Amino acid sequence: MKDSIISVTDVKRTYKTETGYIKKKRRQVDALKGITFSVEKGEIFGLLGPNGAGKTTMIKILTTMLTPTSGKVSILGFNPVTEMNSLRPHINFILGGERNLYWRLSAYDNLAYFADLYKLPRHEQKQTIDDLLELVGLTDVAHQRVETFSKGMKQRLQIARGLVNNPEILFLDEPSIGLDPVSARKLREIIQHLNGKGTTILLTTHYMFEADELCDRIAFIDKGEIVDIDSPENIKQKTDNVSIIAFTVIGVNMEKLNELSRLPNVQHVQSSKQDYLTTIKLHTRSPQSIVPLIYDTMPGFVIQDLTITKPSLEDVYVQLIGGKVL
Amino acid sequence: MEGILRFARHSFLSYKALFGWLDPKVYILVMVMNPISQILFFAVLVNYVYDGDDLVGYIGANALILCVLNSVFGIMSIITSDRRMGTLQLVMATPVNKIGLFLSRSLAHVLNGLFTSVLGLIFGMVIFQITIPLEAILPLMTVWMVSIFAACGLGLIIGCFSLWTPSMHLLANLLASSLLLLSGANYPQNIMPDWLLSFADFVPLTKGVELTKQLLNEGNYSNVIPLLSAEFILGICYFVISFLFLKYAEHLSRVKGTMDLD
Amino acid sequence: MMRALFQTIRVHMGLSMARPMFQFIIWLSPLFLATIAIFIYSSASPEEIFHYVILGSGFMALWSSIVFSSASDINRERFYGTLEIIFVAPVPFVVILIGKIIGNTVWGFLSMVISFVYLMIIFQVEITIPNPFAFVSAIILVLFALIVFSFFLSLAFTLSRQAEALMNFIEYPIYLICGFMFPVTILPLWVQPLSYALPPTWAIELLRVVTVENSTFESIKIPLTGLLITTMIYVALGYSCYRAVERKARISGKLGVY
Repeated sequence: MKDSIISVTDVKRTYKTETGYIKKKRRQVDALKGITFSVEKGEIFGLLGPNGAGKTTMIKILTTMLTPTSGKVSILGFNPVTEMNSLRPHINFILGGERNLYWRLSAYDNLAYFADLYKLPRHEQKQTIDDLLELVGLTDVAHQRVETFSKGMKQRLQIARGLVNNPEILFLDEPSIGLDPVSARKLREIIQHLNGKGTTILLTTHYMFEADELCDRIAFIDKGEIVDIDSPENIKQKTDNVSIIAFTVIGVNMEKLNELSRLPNVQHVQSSKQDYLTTIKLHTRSPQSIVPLIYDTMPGFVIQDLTITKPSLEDVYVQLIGGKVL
Repeated sequence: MEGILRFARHSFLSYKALFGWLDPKVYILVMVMNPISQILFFAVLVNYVYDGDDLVGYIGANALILCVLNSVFGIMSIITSDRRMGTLQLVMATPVNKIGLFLSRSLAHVLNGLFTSVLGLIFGMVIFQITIPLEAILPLMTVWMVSIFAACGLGLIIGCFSLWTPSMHLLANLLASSLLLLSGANYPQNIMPDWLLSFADFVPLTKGVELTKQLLNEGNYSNVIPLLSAEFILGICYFVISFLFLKYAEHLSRVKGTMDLD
Repeated sequence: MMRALFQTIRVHMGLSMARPMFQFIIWLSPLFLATIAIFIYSSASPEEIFHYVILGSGFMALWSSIVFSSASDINRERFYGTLEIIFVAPVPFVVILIGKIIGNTVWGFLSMVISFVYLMIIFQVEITIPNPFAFVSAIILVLFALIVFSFFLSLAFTLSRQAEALMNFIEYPIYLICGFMFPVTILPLWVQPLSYALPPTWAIELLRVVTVENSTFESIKIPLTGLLITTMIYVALGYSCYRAVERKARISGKLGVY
């Protein structure tokens, strides 16, 4: 076992909100209900989960921006609650989206500004900033105002900003949200490059393929709890002999779906509707025996594009988060 | 040395990043035409009503008041703009000392406020063909610098309110109008009722305006030290209060989780 | 058509008041202006106080409400991307625009009244109006003139991008040029033609002469004629601006993006 540089033990976070002045209504929201995990040096660790699962709350706690209600957190040996001033120079974070930059400043000035905030010695700044601009491919536009940049360029500048202090750990919250496929791929390349140089990376995402491609280990998080932690391969292994039968039909109702889920050896049924087409996925260990049964169950339906595949990470995710393994 | 350079660059870059009026055309309209039309209006008015009495002092006092563009509206932007751009949370999570950070951000606005006031004074002098004694210039600039610093402190407190309320236009205009009213830039201070006067004592620019009138109308320098010290202490208090507000906001965001700095 | 107009006035008055800046302009700003004016004129004669403090600060309040609403309403709609929607609505754009301006002017008038009442109660200023009928008629005419002038400004600001920036800075210059707080005659001679080309100058002058005791038709004649003529001119200017805006919108389709 290598050194774990992030260790999170039974972390809980509740928000208490009060609404109304006269008749105060107190509401308590449990964003995290006891999270435990650790990240090793040099890993790319992914936090996966649906919106509202608690990913951003976790990132905020790890980056000293929020304190946990209870539990223990240690990052690089520091407690982010009490030793934030010692910890902050060693970490950095990148938030997805186009904001979080000074649009009226040039790319170079944005980096210089944050280099100052991270107390980077001035004689090192120029070289560092030039290197970072080179890394994210913004050297040519270094002195243009950020407001003239495309979304992808802004996102890359965000990455450069997150690296001004050469952090040992980099946190990324939904880094590729809203990016076009080309920019998203470039982003993944940069992340892999950084990791190759020894930076530990913790990212949240809800893009499965991204997590699959990048992460050494993944923690599935749902409703403030960790559902599973493992490497993408192992997670897929867990459903080793499971195959996915996917097909599309027109106009299917709940009753039919229930009927499908009652078929022998079907573990799980998911359906998604796009326009009038419904895509149905059946998780099963014996696809060959199921396929004829599908046709028997659905007489009169036009079944199209029927495929039998190995499960993707997304299928596993749906199974874990969806929770109902039949 | 490195610290000073960093402080200066920080001051400059945040001014550029957060203050939307740096575009030359907009700057001329907002930061030159606007104050000039204001000082012109009040100068013509008081010149008519007081029949030219003490005109130099009134023009000087009105010029000083012009600093509200920076000491109210400008200084607010170092919090409101930062939050709107989503950078405030990043800045707050850096290891830099936050007091030094906000002081350096304020510095640019103190200087810009001084520049606006001087511009207004020069304009008033040209239009009304008045002069001020050479030896008054240095004391006057010192008085203005300290007074504008104090006004910026109060402006920063109002700026902090933007973390709680969305009605910043209202608050900022309320403050700007109150400064114009309470400072007594356009009438002798003793015209104000007593309760208003005692309130004005705790408002920045009041002492600066009084000193400006004394320096320019009477050549009286004797009150500079006591009044200016009081103004300076007032300014320090305002800044301390605004830092407490910022600290409290950080606490709400970090520990209570009831405030979103983003 | 009338229904649409009243509906616009009603809805728009609510919309305007929802903006904190406008709340300040209508409710609070007149108090500050009136206080500053009465302090400046503290040792003046009652007549001067009436002319320059009461009418002056009242008019400043009225003018501010125009600057911060009517003059910028079209631009605001453009900013929110609702301008084209309004333009293609079955109700003519001009009706909507006039409705907005009337709504703002009603608020502005209220602001003026607040300023009067404040001065009467807090500073015990006496307001005596020798000929109420003439005064009320004059007020109605003045409000009409200002609506016409706002209509012109609102459209002129739509036509030019530069004007949009200018809009925020016509507050003090108009106070100054139109002599809200002092007689126009103290201004340099070369400024005065400009003063007399603007309806507010004649408007406040009309209110001043109409409230002088035993004012005669002779004394009212000049400001009344001046106000009527300038108003006619701005009706014509407003109409041509309206045509220009319409052309821009319908033919070059450039209303939304300049």
